Amino acid sequence: MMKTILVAEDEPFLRETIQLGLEEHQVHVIVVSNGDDAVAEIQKSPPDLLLLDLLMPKRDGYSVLAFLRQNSFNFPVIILSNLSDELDQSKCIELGAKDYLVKSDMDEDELWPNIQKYLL
Amino acid sequence: MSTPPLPKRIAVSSVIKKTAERLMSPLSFPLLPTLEFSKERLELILRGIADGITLQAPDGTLIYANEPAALVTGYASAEELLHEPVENIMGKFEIFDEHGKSLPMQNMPSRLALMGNPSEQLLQFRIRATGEERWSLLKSTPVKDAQGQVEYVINIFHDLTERKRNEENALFLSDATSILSSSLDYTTTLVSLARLVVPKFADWCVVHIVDNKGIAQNVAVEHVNPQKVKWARDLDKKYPHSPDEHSGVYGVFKSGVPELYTDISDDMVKMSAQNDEHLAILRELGMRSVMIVPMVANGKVLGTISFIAAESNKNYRTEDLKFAENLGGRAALAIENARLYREAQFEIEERIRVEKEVRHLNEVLEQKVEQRTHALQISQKQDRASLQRFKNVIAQLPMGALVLDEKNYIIEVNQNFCDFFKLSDTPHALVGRHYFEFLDSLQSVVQQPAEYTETFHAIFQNRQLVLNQEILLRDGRILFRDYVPIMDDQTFLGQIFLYRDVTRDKRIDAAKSEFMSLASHQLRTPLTTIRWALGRLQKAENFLQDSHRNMLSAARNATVVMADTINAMLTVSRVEAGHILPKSMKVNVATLIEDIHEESAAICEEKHLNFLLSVEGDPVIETDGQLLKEIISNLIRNSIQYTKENGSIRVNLVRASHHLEIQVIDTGVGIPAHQQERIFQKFFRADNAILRQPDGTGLGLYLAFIMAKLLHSSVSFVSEEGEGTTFSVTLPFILPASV
Repeated sequence: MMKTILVAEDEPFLRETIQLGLEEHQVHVIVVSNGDDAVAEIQKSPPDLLLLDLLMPKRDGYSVLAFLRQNSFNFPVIILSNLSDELDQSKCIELGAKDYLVKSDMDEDELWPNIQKYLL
Repeated sequence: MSTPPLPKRIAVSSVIKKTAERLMSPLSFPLLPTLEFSKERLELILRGIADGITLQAPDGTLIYANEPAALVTGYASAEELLHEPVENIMGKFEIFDEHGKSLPMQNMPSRLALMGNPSEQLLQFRIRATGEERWSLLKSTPVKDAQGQVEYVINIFHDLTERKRNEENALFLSDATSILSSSLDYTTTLVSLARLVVPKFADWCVVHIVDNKGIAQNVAVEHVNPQKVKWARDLDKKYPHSPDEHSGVYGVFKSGVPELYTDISDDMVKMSAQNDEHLAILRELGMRSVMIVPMVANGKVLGTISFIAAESNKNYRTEDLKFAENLGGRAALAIENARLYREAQFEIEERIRVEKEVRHLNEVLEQKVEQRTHALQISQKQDRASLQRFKNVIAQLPMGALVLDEKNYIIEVNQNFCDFFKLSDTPHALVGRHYFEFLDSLQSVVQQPAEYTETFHAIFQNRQLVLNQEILLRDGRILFRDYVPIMDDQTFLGQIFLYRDVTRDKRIDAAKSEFMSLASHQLRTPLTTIRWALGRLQKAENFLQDSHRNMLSAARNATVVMADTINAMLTVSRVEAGHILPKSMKVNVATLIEDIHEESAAICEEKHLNFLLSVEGDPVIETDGQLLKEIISNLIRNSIQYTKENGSIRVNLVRASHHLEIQVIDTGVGIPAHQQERIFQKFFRADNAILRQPDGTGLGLYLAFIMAKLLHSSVSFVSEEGEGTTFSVTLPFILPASV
């Protein structure tokens, strides 16, 4: 059974690139461009992993994390953001994120090795 | 000289009878007229009278004289006197009146009586032959016959010599006494005394005082002839008295017994002369009679007075000696008094001197006390001034200030403090109170009262400097508190709490941080697009020419450097803003280095670098592991970047007694000597580094440097261009609380 990865990313080029990259590894990738859509998608059908941007229109990543916690969703969430503050990182870990990746510090093809371990 | 004819016997008898009657009449002899006096009996009576009595005939011839009359006039017997012609008798005397004036013969009482007038006068006779002086009251009474003719004259000589001499001596002694007591300088006194003695009692007077060595000192010499004073002095100088003498000055001094030489013969002079010259002088001085008397006071002989008669032909007698002794005694008393006076004077002077000294000391003391008092006043003034300054400083500090003494009582507090903690008391009213009294008030204002109280207790327990403790107030304000213990050497004197309102600074800081954070985010987002896009393009390289492939590679590498730079800048800004506060944790440094080694393995392999580790033991210290890792990683990254292929990088962990040293040794390009001092500057890159690696951030070593500071450690290096560099991080070896 193919794993489903939900990608919440507002920047279109990145969103497309992530999708292309991940799909090379035999996973089902669903992309949304904001927090609201992410929550709607999750409510419709929770993914096996959520790759979550923090700064997005409508509903930001923190809010999505808070929603997941409130509604006891326990699929792994990996933050993929260009915020690198320690405060942001610790806040996300506190809200239940499994990992925190800074986009600009990595190449697109480094993404898969970093999330593969969380796909049980 | 012919013998005067004796009066007829009967006549004489009747004369005597009449004389007797005259003599007796004052005695009221009622029976006398009836008495039958024989001539013998009358003569017996007259002879028994002590006064000298002579009878003179109208022609002046002596017709009777009794023995006392002979004595008074210097004759051996009445018989001798009676046989002497009157003119001879008178020639033997010089006669003076009671005032010492020469008395003319016609004024003599006997002459006046011969003229019919009874007369009496005090007379002084100086017997020319002997120089002896006698005083008599001569009472001459004419006895007249029925016709009023002078039949004869009765002269009665009442000898007053003794009395007169006593009077004179008494007068003299009185003068002497007044002289002796006139001066307390006894030398002056004795000179005056000698002057008084000469010429009345001596022609020559010498006073000797025996000093404490037993030597007789000539202190006064007086001579009737002023020219001979010098002679007399020379005599004493040239031929001084010998202390061995048993007589003379030393004899008298030793025995205390006066000596009297009534009549000094030429033989005696010869005997006492030491040589011809001496004899000549002695003869010239012509000593005739000498008295030497001691000056005795309190049984002690102080010296001698020598009375010498020469020109006057005087012969000293026992009565003169007595007088001289008396004078010697008085002189001794005067000397003694002078001595006592001198002692008293000395004592007085000494006392005056001492008093003066005491007074001086008192003055000095008073002056010192005054100076001290003044100094004290000044210092009190200064104390007051400095206290006032201190109060002013505290009052005007643009922050809350609380000054406690060593027992936590308030010494000083300012209005800002009261405002921060909403205290209703004035600062002045709080002074002297214990901080505990208003701790409740403080607690009611802070957000976390229990924690706040806890920090107080910790501070009072440790009494160590604490800076920048954050206190959140209920009203949202943020205070920073500094605690400063005031030490004088090792003595704890008190403590100062300073509270700064940092609410605004915090807000600004937060705004800055947010800006940096957002700014970096906004830079990173397009950067990510570029980087990933380039990555995608590289994957499609089959469609590209070689030159295009290289361009893509360079562009992609630039995005990596740019990402690194953004990260480094963010870190720098956080460190510089003080946002990175070192945490304290147990860190196994060996493990930490091994982790970095592992993380760097891939890139080292890729660059064909030999990365070696040399770790001594398993040291665990108390530090911030994350920061330490960041520091070491930066150094290693630096080494990897600037070491050529096939070079080596070695990390040593060296444990010393008080510190740990982590060495990162590479065989890289090294740092040019002239640029070594700038190597830790922000954005600095050495020339050879730029040449080798154009894309460096210039922030790696700077970050290592400022982060090491946060850990109270230091980074140093040794480098040679072209050979390599050794960076060393020295960490204080702080053992964790529980190992």
